[in-house]
Amino acid sequence: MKHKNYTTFAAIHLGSEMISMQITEYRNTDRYKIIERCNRRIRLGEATFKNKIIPFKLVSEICEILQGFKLLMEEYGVEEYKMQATTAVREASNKIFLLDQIYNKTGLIVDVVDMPMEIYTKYVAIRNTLKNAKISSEREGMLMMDISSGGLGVTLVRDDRIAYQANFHVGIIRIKESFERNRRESMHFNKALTEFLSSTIGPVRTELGDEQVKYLVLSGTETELLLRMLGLDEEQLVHRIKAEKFHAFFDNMRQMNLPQLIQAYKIPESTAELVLPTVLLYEQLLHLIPAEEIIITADRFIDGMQLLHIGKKTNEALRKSWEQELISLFHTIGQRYLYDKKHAQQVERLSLIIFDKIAKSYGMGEHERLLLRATCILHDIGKYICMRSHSIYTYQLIMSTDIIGMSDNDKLIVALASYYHANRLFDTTKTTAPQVPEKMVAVVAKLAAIVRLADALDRSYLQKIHSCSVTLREDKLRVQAVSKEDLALEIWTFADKAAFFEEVYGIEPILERVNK
Amino acid sequence: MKKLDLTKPEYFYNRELSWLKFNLRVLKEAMVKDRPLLERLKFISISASNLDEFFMVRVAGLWSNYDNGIEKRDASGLSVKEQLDAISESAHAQVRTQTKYLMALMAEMNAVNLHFRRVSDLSELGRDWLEEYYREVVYPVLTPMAVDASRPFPFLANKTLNLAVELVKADGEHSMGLIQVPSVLDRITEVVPEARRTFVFLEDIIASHCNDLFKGCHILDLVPFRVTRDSDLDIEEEDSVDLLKEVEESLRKRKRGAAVRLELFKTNNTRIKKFLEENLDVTDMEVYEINGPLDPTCFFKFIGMKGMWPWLDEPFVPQRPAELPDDSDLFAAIRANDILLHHPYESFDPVVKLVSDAADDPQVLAIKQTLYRVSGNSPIVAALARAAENGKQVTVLVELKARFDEENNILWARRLEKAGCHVIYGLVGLKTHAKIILIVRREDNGIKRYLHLGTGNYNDSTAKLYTDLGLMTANDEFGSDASAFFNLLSGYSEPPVWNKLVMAPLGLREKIYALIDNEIAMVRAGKEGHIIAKMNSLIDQPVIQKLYEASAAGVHIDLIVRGICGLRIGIEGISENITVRSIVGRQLEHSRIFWFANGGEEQLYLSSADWMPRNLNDRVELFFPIETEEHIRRIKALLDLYLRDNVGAHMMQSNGTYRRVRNKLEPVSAQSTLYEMAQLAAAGDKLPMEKRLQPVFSRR
Repeated sequence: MKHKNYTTFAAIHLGSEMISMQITEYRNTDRYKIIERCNRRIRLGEATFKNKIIPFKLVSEICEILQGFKLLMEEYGVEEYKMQATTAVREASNKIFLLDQIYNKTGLIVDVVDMPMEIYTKYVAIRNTLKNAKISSEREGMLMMDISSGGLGVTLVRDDRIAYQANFHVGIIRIKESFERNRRESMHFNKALTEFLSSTIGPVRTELGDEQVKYLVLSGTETELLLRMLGLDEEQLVHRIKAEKFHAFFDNMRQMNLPQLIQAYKIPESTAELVLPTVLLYEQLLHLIPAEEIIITADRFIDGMQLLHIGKKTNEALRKSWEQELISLFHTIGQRYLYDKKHAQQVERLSLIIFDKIAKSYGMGEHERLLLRATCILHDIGKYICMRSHSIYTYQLIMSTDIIGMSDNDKLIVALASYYHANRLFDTTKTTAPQVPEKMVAVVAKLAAIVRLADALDRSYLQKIHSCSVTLREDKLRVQAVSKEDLALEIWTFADKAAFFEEVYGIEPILERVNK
Repeated sequence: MKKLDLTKPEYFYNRELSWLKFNLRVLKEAMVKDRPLLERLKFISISASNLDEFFMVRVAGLWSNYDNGIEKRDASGLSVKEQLDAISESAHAQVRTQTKYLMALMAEMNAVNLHFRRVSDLSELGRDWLEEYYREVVYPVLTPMAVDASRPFPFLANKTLNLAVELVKADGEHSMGLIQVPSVLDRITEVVPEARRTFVFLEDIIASHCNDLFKGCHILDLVPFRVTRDSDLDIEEEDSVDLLKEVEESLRKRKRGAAVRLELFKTNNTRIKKFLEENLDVTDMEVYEINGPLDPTCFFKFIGMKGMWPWLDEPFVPQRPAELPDDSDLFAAIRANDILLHHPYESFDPVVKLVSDAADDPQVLAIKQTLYRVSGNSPIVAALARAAENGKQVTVLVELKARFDEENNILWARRLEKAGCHVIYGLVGLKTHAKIILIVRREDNGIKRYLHLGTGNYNDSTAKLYTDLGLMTANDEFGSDASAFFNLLSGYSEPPVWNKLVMAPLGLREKIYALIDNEIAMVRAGKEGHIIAKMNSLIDQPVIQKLYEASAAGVHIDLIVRGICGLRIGIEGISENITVRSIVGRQLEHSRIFWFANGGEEQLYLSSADWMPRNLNDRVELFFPIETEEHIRRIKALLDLYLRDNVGAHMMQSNGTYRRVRNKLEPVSAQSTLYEMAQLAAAGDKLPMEKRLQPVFSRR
């Protein structure tokens, strides 16, 4: 048999309403073929949004379906798989038992993604689809709204950069489950719901100010319902709808009560209850920011999972562009807290020089490099709140900012590394110091130590060093900084901060000024 | 335009009465004089066997409705009781005809030196021989049963032949007894020493020798009789944890169903008649007195006795398929072209080979298949088990509820499970009737799916008798639909948006309406509307109404319906554009073919489904398009051939009766023509010499 030239990958998504699997044969992001699609409805969201508990009956049901998926994976000789769970599982207090059951019964390991990652995954797929459809955000802004059953993500893209990102806990099923049945049937529900939504997403309006966008990109499970109501083909990849048409549609719909809606738009009984929240939510969103065109793509979370997986494995350019997009997001966050951009960039530059020299021998790769960059860019943002003990505020600000594309785990590493670049690790005298989970100690320390050195190299915040080279010989890291200026402050600070670095890496850093 | 009321009862025929007409057509084949004598006898056996099943299921079902007070009228306006009465009347007439034909055939057999005799008419030599046969073979398995105050009437199993015996004791007291005619013995025995070939019935042997069977009693009279019982399974699917166990349990219960028919040899002995009627709890309308041998299904075995060939057709040999002259690499052949198979004219072997090859092919990852009825020692089941043992992922959807095959199906379902197959017992409340095989193969360029879709069961035995069509394809759109179909049946996925396949009960009915509506639209647009549909039964009322609507709009509809047909032709303004014909012959017509003119862009579909409510509502069925030009041509030619048939075709008349097509044209028998064509194609397409000169090595 000839050597086969493709890889078989299964993406499994345990969502709030559906368990899905998509099996793909791929060579790269352009040459792939989806060979199997399974979507099995499951009422997971309804159960968890209300009681925060996944009933055990559902657990067994899920396991049964997954056992079937496992069989299918074997049938296609699947070589790689990724299984992710989103909102409904994330919010269930007994998720650990679910994951344990799944592992014991199927051997599948589930990765529970947090909300920013969930939004990001879909964002990646949609952006890719839009790029392929030649819809760009280069000059015109693009507001992307993703509504899932449990959450809402709002992302503003301008000049191919993420300019704003926020996520809310309002999803269609969540809204439905937040109000009891009798409330939902009350005559006041319409108005109450409008107010509820308005107050929840109101702050976005303030944040966006008078931003102008050309495109409003809608995604999420309920877009299917919307398309059906608009009489459009649900299977088509990209739909472009003029804003006027959209508004006319909503105006028309507002005239109707629920039974009329069901009849007029041929909505199945099962989804009827979701119609009203969906419609009202869309209306609120449309009011946020005026747009010329509404775009709806057929992308689902699982498509994003697939693209991220295949992209990271086969498409270096794409991987780099994703990374670049994230970096731009870090800067956006920095800007928001009035960071010293030049200092941040200088620290990033110097950190990377050191990192690239030692990374390989200390088991650090692309991922750690990205975390390091995030730390460098964000390491001082706490100064926005208070110049004294800014590092604790830096930590808190990072932790409370949604950073789309970054898992909670990674975010914690960045926040901790930012904190510990300015503080001693294992300092028992400080009771306010954030705890570092044991499994994270090594990576946090390694990153913090580098940032600490790099920060020292720009202690004056004047970017005196315009280039520098690093050599590593006999446990000595020799940093030769090229500068026309006096580096006394930097050299002294560097010497003070060197101990931590040596403690972590077992290498003694030495700074030398080279005059050019 | 005024909307037509298409629901009037007079527009429809009753399902059961229509079925009885079909069985009469089968029976009448016994009187087709240019057919070999014993082939004619076979039709009597077939119709008798059909009738048994009809009573066991349909009549029993109606009685159970009646007993439960269900008073729903059928489409033709008959209440349950009215149907039962009409059935009884029609079935009595049919049984009389059957006996008449049988006696006539026995007379003809006599003329060719095949003699059926009473024991008393034998030569002394013959009687002596039988005496010994009785003592050594029959007597040891006889169980006489007296029935009196202390010994209640025993339970007599379904379809068993018995003798009712009137006894008188030494003290002059009358009583009754029963003797079961042992089913382990041949019903018809050849009396060897007779100079001419002579046969006697087992019940006659027993009757002639049983005088000493009831000790201390004298036998006054003796009457053969037979009981037919309710045999429909009653399965509580919704609450059942283990369907396999549930079916086994209800199979045990089936043996004890209520009697729905009593056949007895014509007698004047009212005491015996009353004794049986009372004890079996049957009324007069359920009693069939027969002035001839009971249970003519015994002739199936008789025909197979040695030396019968002069009065039988040449053996029927399925031919090598025209589109598959070389099946050494089936996967390559299917990749190159879709392959259409027409059984039984073309051999079923390639289908068996497909599964068998897949079982041994290292590139095959998975095999999925539906199984409804399979043969006793099915090579397909063996191949599936082997595949699982070879480490393939094998998923088999076994329909446990396939009527009268339940017991059989449980056996091999267990066997498949043991071999490591993933066995699914179908969906709750739906029988899986679709015929599909899906093979997933890993090839250099990725996963490739191969399928077989058919109109008939994966049963290599019946595939020699039933006319069915099958399609083998590697078309990707069909393939991904097939995967989705199995995912749906396995509970892995919701129904997808289908590319090609149409599935019942999700959408097939609507698809049929849409196709018929499309023909109506064609007529309205000034084009020709024409439908040719071939199936086994047509009884679904809404579909029939749709056909009326089309006929009224000017669509020509030619229906080739072998069995039940609830549609009435020739109703003014409603069904004048419809013809109905039924083809009955040596092969059992079983293929379901649907052709639509579509304004010149003809469309052709094959299906596992008849147009019956059960197929469209309560079964998982598939309906699939034929897309290759050549195949459309081939199947259309086949339909045209059926429409020209003036040998085995019976046309429905406007009064609902069927009349054999007789015209001055050259006789055309679709079945014989197809057989000849298949023989020619196979002969004319022999392997090229260089291929035949290739040595054959073992596969591995």
